Amino acid sequence: MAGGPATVKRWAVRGVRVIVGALFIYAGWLKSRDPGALIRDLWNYRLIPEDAAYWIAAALPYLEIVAGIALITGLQRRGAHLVLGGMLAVFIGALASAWFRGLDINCGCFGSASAEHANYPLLIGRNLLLLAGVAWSAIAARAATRDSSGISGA
Amino acid sequence: MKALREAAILVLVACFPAALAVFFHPQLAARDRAGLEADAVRLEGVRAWGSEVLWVDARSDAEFARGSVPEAVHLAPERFATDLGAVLAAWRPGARVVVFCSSISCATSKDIARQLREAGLEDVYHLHGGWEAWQEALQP
Repeated sequence: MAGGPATVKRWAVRGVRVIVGALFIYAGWLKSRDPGALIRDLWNYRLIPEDAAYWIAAALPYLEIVAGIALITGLQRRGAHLVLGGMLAVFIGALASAWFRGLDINCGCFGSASAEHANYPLLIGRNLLLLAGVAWSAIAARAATRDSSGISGA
Repeated sequence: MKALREAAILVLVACFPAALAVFFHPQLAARDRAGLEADAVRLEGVRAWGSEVLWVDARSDAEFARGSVPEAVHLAPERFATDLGAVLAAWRPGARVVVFCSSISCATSKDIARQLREAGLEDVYHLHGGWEAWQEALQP
């Protein structure tokens, strides 16, 4: 049995994975229900052509769901870290760009459930927090592999 | 490298439901609308109709005063009940109604289109891109 602090840390990492993974699964599920609105939300950022928005709207919800499940279950977890981290970095960049250009848009983060007017500091802050969670999970997974102590939880 | 390989696997796995959605989700399968919402229409689409169109300008009074689509009826969202009469008076049987607001970012036209349908009008659409799309189309 591992010591107290190590056990707490392991459970904390698990908790973060469940929270981050569940958020992505929920967001992906909401987006998958209304891809038409997602196309409009993506296009509102004015960073990509409409055709690209169509294909991203088709794929993004399911990639979020698959990566969220992978993060929670541990199947292809390294890939999940890369995919989720990459997506969050892109989301943060897109939000910062829209904020800089003064666009008054729906962020589209949670499909139709998103607020009509994006609160950029809040959204960027939330995504940075999620990115920190993904980074922590990745660091913990790497440390667990290095230790190769037979404890596969972290 | 292992992380990249695993990420590629996740992307591939996600491609299966995405492909199903492209073919079977009503909003995505309607590729002729390029994934637009069911009641959205592009300017090119309106021109291709060849039928009579009643344009409804759902922008503010100030924006309408600065210029609008020729013969468009102004319907300010805050005066929907009052301005509805002008829209109904201008509507002719068989005419399609296209509501527009400022740009792709505004959602007013979609709301007004829905309210017009609830008021009894049929064939009501909202213009994808709004007034901005109209002006862009006028540029050489």
